[in-house]
This record gives sequence, structure tokens and C-alpha cells, in this order.
Amino acid sequence: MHILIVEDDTETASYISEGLRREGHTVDAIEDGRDGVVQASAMSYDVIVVDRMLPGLDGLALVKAIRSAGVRSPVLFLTALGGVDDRVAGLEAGGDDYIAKPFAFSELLARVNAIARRPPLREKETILKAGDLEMDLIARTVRRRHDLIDLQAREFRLLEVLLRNRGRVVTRTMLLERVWDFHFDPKTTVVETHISRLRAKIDRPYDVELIHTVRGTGYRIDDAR
Amino acid sequence: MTLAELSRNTAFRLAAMFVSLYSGAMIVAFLIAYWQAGNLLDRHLLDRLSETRDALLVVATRDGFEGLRGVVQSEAAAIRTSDTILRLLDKSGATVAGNAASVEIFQGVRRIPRASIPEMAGRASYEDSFVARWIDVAGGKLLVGVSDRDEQATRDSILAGLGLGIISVLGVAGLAGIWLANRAQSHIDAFGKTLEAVSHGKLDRRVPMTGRGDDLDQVAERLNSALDRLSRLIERVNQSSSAIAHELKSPIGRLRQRLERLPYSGSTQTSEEIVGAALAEIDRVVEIIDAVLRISQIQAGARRNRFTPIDLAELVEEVAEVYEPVAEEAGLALVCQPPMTNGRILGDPQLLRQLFVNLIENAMRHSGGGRTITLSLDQDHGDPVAVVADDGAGIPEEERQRVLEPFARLDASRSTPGAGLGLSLVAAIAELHGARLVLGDNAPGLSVRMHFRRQK
Repeated sequence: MHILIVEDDTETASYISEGLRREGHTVDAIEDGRDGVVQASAMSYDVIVVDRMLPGLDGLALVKAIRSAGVRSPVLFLTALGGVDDRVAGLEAGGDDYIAKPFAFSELLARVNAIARRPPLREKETILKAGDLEMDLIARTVRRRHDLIDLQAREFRLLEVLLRNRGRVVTRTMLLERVWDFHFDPKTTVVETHISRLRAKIDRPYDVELIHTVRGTGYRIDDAR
Repeated sequence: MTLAELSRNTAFRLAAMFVSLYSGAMIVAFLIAYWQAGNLLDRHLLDRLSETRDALLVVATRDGFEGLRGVVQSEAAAIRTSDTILRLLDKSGATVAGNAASVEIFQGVRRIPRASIPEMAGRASYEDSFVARWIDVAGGKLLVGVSDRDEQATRDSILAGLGLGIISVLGVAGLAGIWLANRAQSHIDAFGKTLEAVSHGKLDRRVPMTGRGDDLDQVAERLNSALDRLSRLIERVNQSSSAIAHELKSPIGRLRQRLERLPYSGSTQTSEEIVGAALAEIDRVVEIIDAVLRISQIQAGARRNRFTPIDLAELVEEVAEVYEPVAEEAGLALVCQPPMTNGRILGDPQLLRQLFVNLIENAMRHSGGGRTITLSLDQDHGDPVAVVADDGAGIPEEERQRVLEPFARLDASRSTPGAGLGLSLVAAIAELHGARLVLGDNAPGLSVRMHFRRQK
């Protein structure tokens, strides 16, 4: 993927670019907000990572500017700690996701992968699949090997988030945000408990395990072992 | 108090203004009274003149010109006639009797000062005037004049009385003004001194109260309760900043120890384990800072712009559903107790979710042998009351207020992991929603009641 990073803190910028390059991505890094607008408009990036606080032009204004210039590249905001309002403001400005500094690189990578442009999904995709597991979004049913599996609403949502990111890691924090709308870090094993309940229903009765634990990061649904 | 200070004093200025207005009105009233009394006295004087004239005319009619001459002569010679002037002329215009030969003939009534009549000037020690007129009598002309001395004296005594009255009113009011001003000033000086002392760090000082319940006392009372709040706030800020520093000290200390061990081989831990543990400590530090920043942002109240209508019952049930299995794994039962009445409020759903999660997790962590956590929704005068209760160890009554403050942890639970920020975050979120937070005894256990305001 071709990724643009707009971040004035050189240490953070090089930490992110090095990490992404190690993952095989091409990375351009820019320090100034105004240069960021120019660069983002000139090239077609797969993902743009933007710091909220930038010299020249702040991150929100940058994203508003490139959105009104017709740039559709997905944007991941880097926000400061404790910013209870940053997420909403970022999404309203046209961002796709946000991550609070300081963060683990694996978290950033998972979020970059999750928002990255991929071969456009057909708008009317109503069946999500992983191996022999099928989720029908219209009928709200889940089948594995033609067995109908009964899931509660939140379990359905949890499985849906995993399936929409099939083959990619979904972190614990991403699950908390997307499944339960928890924008804070609970002290208890909420995610682990619900994943284990879901596994009991969709994995345990079958010989092939679909939900994989990615140590220290999160979970991935995949038919590859 | 100097005069310059006095002139700036509000009470004194009010008193001075009142005194000048009052004396102005009094002077006007006195002038009217004086003018009327003067009119009356003038009429009285003219009456006396007429009486004297009439008496002499009676003599002239009865005894003829000669009889009149005799009466005028004897009258003018008498000592008391220094209060009357008379001059009798015969047909030829020669003076035949009287004591005021120098007063020439004139028309009408005139006022003649005693000093301008040489014959009379030396005959009295007082300065008065004569009101006089010429009358025609058979066989000649007669001047009759009476002294206005009595009227003048009455006039003077009225004037003196009124003047004295005004002066004494002015004096009394002025003194009262100064006294009141001094009294108010001494209060205000005491206010100033107290505030000065407080600003120099003596937070226990309070403004003195007279107990009279007047306006200054009311100001003093408000000032004192503001000082109470201020000192509590400062105390809390001091406590929490030292508590935050304290809380950060231990993970940073452990972090340092772990990193120090990294270069030495022969450690029982692999470097991967050491780095992992160090990262966990950093996450702990980040978490504390995040919570502190969150609390201060919530307290700043900016989130209120994003309030939306919420059904508390729905939200509580949703959180309960998420936590039921979590509690079950921890060996506890989480019960969402019916009836869940309708609880429409305006709020921030994300923060409210965090509020209930914090309370549930707090109950789980401090359950201390308890078995059940109960969520319910009550009504209080139509306002929804959300209740999170457990049957664990509870919190002693005297500690209940303190645990809502940042980093306050009960000594007994010092060993429990997790900073004491959970409940203070709850308090901040409740306050943002205008909800009253009441910690109570669930006998056994703790009940946390949140009195929300229904959506109007």
C-alpha cells in the first residue's frame, strides 16, 4: 500500500514509517499541514495518517480541505491522550478512524489495514463468509456447514465485525469501539469473555478453528490455520 | 477615618445625601412659614397703628384740637412713648406738640427707621422702625407712628428657632452618617483583611459576622461559604495532585528497575519478558494520565453540546447484557432488576456507558465476598434514579464522600489493583449530566444511586 503520514513529531513519524515499511508498504512522511494538503491531493494514497496537532494547518482543517478537494483516501487520525471529543470531531471532519497517542504499533497497523482501500466491495454484499461459516446480513442468520447457529444480537455484531475484516487483525480496542461502543479501556475481560462465548458457538463443535488469537493484539477470523 | 476616606464611604455618602436633601426640604418649609408669619406680623402692626390713630381721633372729636394737643403733649413726654412717634401741626403748619418734629408730611404709610429720626435715635438701645402715617384732624394734621419692635423681636425669635432647628438636624444627621459609615467601614475593613489573609494562604480565615442579619451579614455569609468551597477545592487539588504523583511514582519506579536489568545477562527473565513487563508499566502510566485528562475534560463540560435523548433503561440493560457473562466468570451474578421504568434523559451515551461499566467493575473488584450486583431504575418525583448495588463489603459512611475524589482509595483496599480514579470519573460524568450521586448502605454492601433529571 502507498501510505502518507502527516506528523510534525519526527520521532513518531519515523517510528510509524519504519514500521509500515517493514510491513512492505511504501511510505511518504510530511511534517507540515499545508504541505500535507498538497501532497494528499497530488497522489492517490491508500491510507493517510494525520496528526491532529500540526504546524501550518491542523489535522482537522487538513482533512476538511482534502475532502472538499475530492480526495477519497481513508484517513486515520492520531489524537492526544484524554481527548474525549477528538473522535467525534475527527469523524465529522471526514476522518475514518482515530487512535490515541501513545499507541502500540500493532494497534496502528490493524487500524490502517482495516480502513485501507481494498478492491471495492459490491455495495449489496449481504453474505459474509469465512471458510464454511456464512453470515446472512439480511436474514440475520449464521450457518456453519448448514447448521443454523443461534447468536444473540451482540454476538452477531461481534462476528460481523470480525468477518468484515476477514484475514486481518481486529484489536481488542477496535472490538470494544465497534461492537459495544465502549470508548474507554475496561478493567475486566469483556472482550475475552465474549470471544470465548462466540467460539463456544461457532468453533468448538467443529474441527477447524476460525477465530484466531493474535497474541498481545487481538483476533482474526480466517480459514487459514 | 480621614475626611477623604469618609467622602468615599458609601454609608457616609448616603447619609450626607439624605441630610442635604432633608435640610433642603426643611429650609423651603421654614421659608414659607417665616414668610407667612411675617405677613401676619405686618398686619398686626398696621392694626396697632390704626388703633392708636382711632384713639387719638376720638380725643380730637371729643375735646377738639386743644384737647388733642394736650394728649399728644403728655403722651410725647412720657418715657414709654419712645415706642410711639407723634407730631401735631396746626393750620399754619407749625408744630404744636409731639416728639418727632423732624418727620415731614408724606402720603400713605411709611416705615421710618428710628436712626433717621434725631429726636428718637437716642431714646432706645434697640434698632427698630416706626410704621407711620399722617392723618387730617380738625384744625391741623397729626403724624402717628408705632414701633415695630415687638414684631421684629417675634420675627427674630422665629428665625432663630428655625435656624437652630436646621443646624441641629444637620448636626445629628451628619454625626449619625459618620457613625454609620464608620461602622460599615470597620466591617468592610474586616472583610478586606480576611480576604488579604486568605490570599496569603491562610485558608482557614473567615469574615466576622455581627449576627444582626443585615445586608453586610448576608454578604459576609456568602463570602464565607465561597471561602469554604474555595478551601475545600484547593485542599482537594492539593490532595489529588500529590496522589497522582504518588500513583505515577510506583509504575515509573518499577519501569526503571526493569529497564536497568535489561543489559545484564544471567537474569532469570528473558529480555522479551522484561520489555513486555516494562511496556505494561508504561500502559499503566498512560492509563492514569488518560483518566486524569478525561476527568478534567468532562468537568470542563464541553461534552454537553453533544447530549442526545437517551432511554436510561435501555442503556442500563445493554450494559448489563455485556457484563452478565463477565461477572459470571468472576463468580458473581449480575442482575438487571425489574421493573425498569422508562428513563428518558438528555445525555452522552458513551460517557454514560462508561459510568455504568465503572460502577459494575468497581462492584466486581471490591465485592469482598459478595455474590450479586444489582442494576435497577427507580423513580423519584418522576425523575429517573439509576441504582447499582452490591452485597459486598460496602464503604463506611464516613468514607463515602471521599471515595468520589480522584485517587481516593480506602486504606483497606490499597492493595487492590487499579487506581482510585474509577469512582471519581463516575462522579464527573454524573455531575456533567446534572445527576446527584448518593452512596448508601445496601445492608450489606454498597448502593450507588444516581438521581438524573428527566428529559423535559
